[in-house]
Amino acid sequence: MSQPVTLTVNGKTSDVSCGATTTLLTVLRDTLALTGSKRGCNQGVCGACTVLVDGAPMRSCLTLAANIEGQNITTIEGLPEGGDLKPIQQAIIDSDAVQCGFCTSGMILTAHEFLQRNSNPSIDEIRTALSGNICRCSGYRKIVDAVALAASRGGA
Amino acid sequence: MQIEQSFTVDAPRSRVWTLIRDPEQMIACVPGCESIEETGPDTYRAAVTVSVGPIKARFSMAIAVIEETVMEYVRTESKGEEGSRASIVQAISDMRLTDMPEGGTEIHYSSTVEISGRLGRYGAGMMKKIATRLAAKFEESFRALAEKQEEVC
Amino acid sequence: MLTSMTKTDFQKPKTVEEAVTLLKEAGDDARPISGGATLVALMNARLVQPSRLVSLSAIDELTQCTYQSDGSVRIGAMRRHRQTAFESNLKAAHQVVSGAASQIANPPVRNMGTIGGSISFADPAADYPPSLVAANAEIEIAGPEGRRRIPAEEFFLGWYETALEPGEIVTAVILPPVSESSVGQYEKLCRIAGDFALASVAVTIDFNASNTVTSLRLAVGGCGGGPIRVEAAEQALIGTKLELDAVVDAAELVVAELDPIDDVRGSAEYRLKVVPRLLQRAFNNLVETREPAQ
Repeated sequence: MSQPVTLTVNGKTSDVSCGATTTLLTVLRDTLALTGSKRGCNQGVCGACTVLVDGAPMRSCLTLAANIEGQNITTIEGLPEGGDLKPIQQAIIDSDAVQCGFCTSGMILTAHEFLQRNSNPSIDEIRTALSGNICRCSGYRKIVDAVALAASRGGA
Repeated sequence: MQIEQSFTVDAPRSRVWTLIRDPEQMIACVPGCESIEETGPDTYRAAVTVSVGPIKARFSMAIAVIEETVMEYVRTESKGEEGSRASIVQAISDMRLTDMPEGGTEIHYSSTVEISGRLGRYGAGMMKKIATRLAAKFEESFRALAEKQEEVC
Repeated sequence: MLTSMTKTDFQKPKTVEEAVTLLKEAGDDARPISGGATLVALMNARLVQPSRLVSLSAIDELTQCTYQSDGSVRIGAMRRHRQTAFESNLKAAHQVVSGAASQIANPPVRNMGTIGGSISFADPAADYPPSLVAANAEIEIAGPEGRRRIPAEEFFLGWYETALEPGEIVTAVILPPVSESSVGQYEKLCRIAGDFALASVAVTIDFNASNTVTSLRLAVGGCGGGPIRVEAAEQALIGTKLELDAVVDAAELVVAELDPIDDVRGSAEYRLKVVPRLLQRAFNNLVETREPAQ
């Protein structure tokens, strides 16, 4: 059963038609062609599909599109402002914290929200904040370094 | 997975045997059983629903009596699958009846069950707990049936 | 494709009463959906295909957590784990519940998952069930017949089964008033960050002025079909000052009541070995949190 759903993604409002059980991840990737959010486990475990919903990181694979009308969704595509990378994005590049890249957008969005709440985190706090994002290349060290670097530069 | 239990009912062995071999009566005792029909001599088809939390699997079971000693022992082979073949269950079950000295009947039941597919997601340890719970429900319903019938007669 | 082709319909009522009616209309295969953290995962795995989804997101009443005049705290069913973890209304022994909330899964899942959804699914290894039993919480349930309240102990029936009847939903968790001197602690052992508990222990304790235990509730998670409360161990610890000997003896009484299984997280035998350690750790941490106040 298909129904019209109005979603606000990266500040842009779109009317999409989807089923009651269609997840936000499916709409983002298949309908809106925003493929930065990745489908890893589809069970909420891996974190590759993480997006911000009203500013809070959530799993787009566990979020039903029909259930989040009226909320503001930010994907990795919508994170740079006016073409400028966010500090965490620049720090990821500067720290060489990308291997295959599959986990990167989820890592960045999670870290971005975390740095907004905690501008001077300890390494342990960074690790805890990223505990819901799995990097199967196991490149955690540089990712944690990147978050610390962004913090040291005073940005999120 | 092995399941084994025994229980006694306050009813003579002849009555217990008659009930066990009567599909109509067993529908009410087997948890989740919606129907049983005879498909041939000693073969039956049954619809059984097993629920684990929100997950519900409806099995179409083919059951065959492969060995029996009247009034004493029956061995059945059961094979079932969900409509979409999402789960498959196979079981060999033995049931043995023994007279109790004080007049009732002991029912000893053992079964080797294999489940694969989506219900296999739950490990064997957990499925065994669920099976034990279903067995307890069977015992309760069967005892009520066997003991009630006797009073009526 | 991964898009489901089932004919599920989606409803987003504004009141509990409407939600209950919508669920009743659609029968057994209708499901309420709160945060989605569990149900959508099951749908994605094609384990559950509801005929109707009734979203509880637009029901204001369910999203509130209120401190009530009698000292009890009412946590609406739609409160997210993260909100409960940081809930300022949860003090003293109630912190056994915020402590459990803060250890559920990982930060993004805690932004989504709700207390009502979690306890309705009743995973035997979930964090809330033992904490709610230790906190002596009551579960408020709404159904076609109206509302009812039952103790958490009677809510969890074991192996994903709860006291919810078809068409009923959890509307709130109510924590009874606690004294300021009481404390609550939740200890969990898991294989990796974010996993369900291999085993967990939840305790709430109150003391008198001379540090003697005057009341205590204790429940274990992950070691049976639901949270296991061990009253014999509670009785054995009341009147003590949680001396090591008393705790060791009580731990034996606890282990005797457990009914663990072997699964991917660990063997039954291992669980029986770690529960006494978790219990000891809970008491040690409690004493530490209490000491500055002395």
